[in-house]
Amino acid sequence: MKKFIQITLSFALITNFGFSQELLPVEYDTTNTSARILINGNAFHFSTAIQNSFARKWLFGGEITDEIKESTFSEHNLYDRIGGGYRLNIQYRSDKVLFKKRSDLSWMLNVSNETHFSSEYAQGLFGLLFFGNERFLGEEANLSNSVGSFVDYITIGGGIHNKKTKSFITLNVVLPRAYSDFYINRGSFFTSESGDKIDILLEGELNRTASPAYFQGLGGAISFDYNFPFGQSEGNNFSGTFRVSGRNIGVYKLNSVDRISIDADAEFSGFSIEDLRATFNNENESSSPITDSLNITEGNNSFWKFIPGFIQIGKVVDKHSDTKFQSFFGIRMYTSFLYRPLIFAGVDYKPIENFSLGAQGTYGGYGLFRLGMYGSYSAEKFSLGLGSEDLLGLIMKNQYGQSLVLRLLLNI
Amino acid sequence: MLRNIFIIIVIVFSLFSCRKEGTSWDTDWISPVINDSLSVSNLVNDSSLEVNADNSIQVILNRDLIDLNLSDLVVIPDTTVIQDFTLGVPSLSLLPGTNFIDEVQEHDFALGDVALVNARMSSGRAIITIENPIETKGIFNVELPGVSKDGVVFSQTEEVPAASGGANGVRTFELDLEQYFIDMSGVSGNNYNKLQSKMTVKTDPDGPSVTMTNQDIVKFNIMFKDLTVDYAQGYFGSTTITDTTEVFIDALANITGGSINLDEINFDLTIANGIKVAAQGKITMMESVNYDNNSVVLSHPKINQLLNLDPAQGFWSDHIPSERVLSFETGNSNIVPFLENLGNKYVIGYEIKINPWGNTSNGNDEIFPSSRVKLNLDADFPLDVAMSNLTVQDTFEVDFTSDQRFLRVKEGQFILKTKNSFPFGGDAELILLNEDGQIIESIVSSEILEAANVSVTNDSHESIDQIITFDINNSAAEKLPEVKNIILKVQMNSAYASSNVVYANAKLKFLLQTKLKLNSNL
Repeated sequence: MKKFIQITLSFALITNFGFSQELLPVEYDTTNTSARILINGNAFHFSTAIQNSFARKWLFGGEITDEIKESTFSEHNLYDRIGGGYRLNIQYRSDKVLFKKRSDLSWMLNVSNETHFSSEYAQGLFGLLFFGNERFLGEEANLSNSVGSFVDYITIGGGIHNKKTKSFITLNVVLPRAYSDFYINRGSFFTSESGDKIDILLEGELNRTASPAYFQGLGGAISFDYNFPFGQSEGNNFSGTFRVSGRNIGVYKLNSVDRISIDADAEFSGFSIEDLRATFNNENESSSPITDSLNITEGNNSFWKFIPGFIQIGKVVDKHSDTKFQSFFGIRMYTSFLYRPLIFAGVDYKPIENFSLGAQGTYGGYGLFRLGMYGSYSAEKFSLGLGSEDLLGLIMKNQYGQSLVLRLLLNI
Repeated sequence: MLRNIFIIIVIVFSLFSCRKEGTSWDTDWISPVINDSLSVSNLVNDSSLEVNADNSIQVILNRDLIDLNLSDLVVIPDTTVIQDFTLGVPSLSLLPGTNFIDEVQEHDFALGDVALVNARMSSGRAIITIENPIETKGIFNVELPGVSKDGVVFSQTEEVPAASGGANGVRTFELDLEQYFIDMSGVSGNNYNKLQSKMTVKTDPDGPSVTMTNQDIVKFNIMFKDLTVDYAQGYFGSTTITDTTEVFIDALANITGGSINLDEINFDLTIANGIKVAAQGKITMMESVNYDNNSVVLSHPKINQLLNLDPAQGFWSDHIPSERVLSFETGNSNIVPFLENLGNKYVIGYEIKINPWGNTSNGNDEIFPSSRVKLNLDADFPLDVAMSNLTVQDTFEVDFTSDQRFLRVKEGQFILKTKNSFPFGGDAELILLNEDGQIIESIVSSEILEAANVSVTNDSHESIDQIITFDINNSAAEKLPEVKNIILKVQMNSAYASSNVVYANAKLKFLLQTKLKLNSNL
């Protein structure tokens, strides 16, 4: 038991504070129908422009130096994307028979915590946020069509699973802990060459959960795996198993969200002495020259949101295949319009009975092409897998993402 | 098994509470803060300016130092008048609709030695109570001859209930006297302080016949309360008003040191009598008290001397006050050192005697709503000032703590871009104070603002362009969260030590910018 806790602890540390990701190929094993605990963890961030040297500081702390900022800024295009998050999921799958007529079905419990962020932003927004306006004197920084969101939530639920095919479906209660988003429909920021005039065009909104409660709302979601074989295994026919996976497909309602709207089209060249005199004398307590010119309105409301879950369809690796090389491939889509469909394909190599290695390439998601690797070991009572979607990202600071995926399966 | 799951969940979720190190980065921002220009008109408040032939500025200053509304001279105390009526015969049978009283009476206002023949009320009310002793409803008409508004004499008819069970029927109503004139000349028209009242009573035309005896008293009671007048005519009595008043000039309150040198300067003090009454006035003292509590008392041959003030002329809105002018110049007063004291507080003592020689107007004193007794300052002089380390400072409350959570100033500069064509310049210092008022940092300007010299044509100033910076170093920036007050201290000097004529092109155009390195920390 002590060893079990140590393994679990190590796993949790890595998945929460290391760099992980999602695409570790699943070994499909229909022979083992015992009760099991399955722990899946992944963490990733991925961008079209933000380098790891920058992202590491952003995500894990430290000073983002001028050198890091310059290097990352030079990679930016007019618009770029970034996304990321982590997910820790613990499942218990019973081996008890639920229905006499369907002895392959049993019950399962599921708990997970997930954080997800994503953004598509204009280059000017990044520049202003991380350099200030002094760098852009005499230039207009474009801010239009920038969006971003962040959500952290817990899901708790249960369902049924097929002990043999490993298909399952769970219904989960979603408990959001934090949420924020922003969008800028139209925006620009111009500072004159001498810094004596600033033109601001900003039409956008900022939302942030504001309830003092630990959980900021309530929702529901389903997660599922559906495995089905294809092709004929005899001869040289191409055959295997396809898996359709869904994670956290659902919605939640946020109870109390503070909303700040800005609709500004203002030119600022300094206050007059009369403005300042009136401000210091509190002659206009209900307004100020700044908030008036920015046309800021504030409010509070509640609304529904889609959970950033995902659907993945792909061929999985068969644990008991006779061949040493197996292919796997598929596509994944998040329920976020910023996440482009991600396609992946790779090869699994099993040099010895209980050990396999693999490599895959991916394209899409929040970034472009990445190369990944993984390794897994299976014993009688457990199996452990470790992989990354972004092998170069793990070791090189000038890459655009990092990921780590870990899986621990304990047969009980 | 469930125990194992529980342990796993507890361990995993406890790890979520761990926090990462903060992420920080620096950004550089430059922004305009104040963009304005100061001309002579900004410096000489409530004055008008003229440009002389040589382009020098002439200041024309006109300011009321004292403005007295002496309507209080005429005070009408709360007064109650009663008009009673009883039968001269033992009894009388009254048929329905019988008029049995029609009587005018005259009453006195107790006004001391004030004798009014006419007055208009600016506020006040009359509470009128009528008592009916007969056992049928009475129809009472109350008229106040001489009490009129817009030419209409006050008259009101009221039905008063019948007496019952030995108690009189009573009716009370109120009249708002605002804007009512009261003619106090009485029935004869030659009297004063008189009020006329007229009461007529008849029995209810639809009621029964009743008997009235000589024991029945019809009462009519008018209570005048809270009367104030804005117009009065008569004799206002002989009275003396003595007082001391303080006049503060806020613009000079922030001076904390240094001196100015004024060239010859002339100005007049005018005592204006806006009341049609003979009077005498006296300025008993005029004292200037400056930032250092140093006082200079103004001297002049007419100070502390009674001056005769003729009655004002004209009527109502076009009445013209009579004036006595005291001219102050270097030859007859200490006006220059008085002004060079830069007092922000001026103490003015005065005495006004009304009708010092009795009723010389034969009861024709008049006060109008716009009548005032004023002490007015009237100056007309060329703007010619020398400054020597004239120190002006002001304190501003600030609070930088609220912004410290995510954003703080790491270092930076205030950049002051100036174009100065004033013959005055100086240097500035920002003194940062903590909540105990202790100085924790001082930020000084990189150079002084240069005073502009006079052009070779002697009709303008040569403007000077400068960029002056105030550096906020890391040490000062670190202390910003502690800062609760900032003192802005400016020390000013003129281009020339003795005389600095200010020409029409004098202007300070300036742009204050901030250039800050901000540290963001998430």
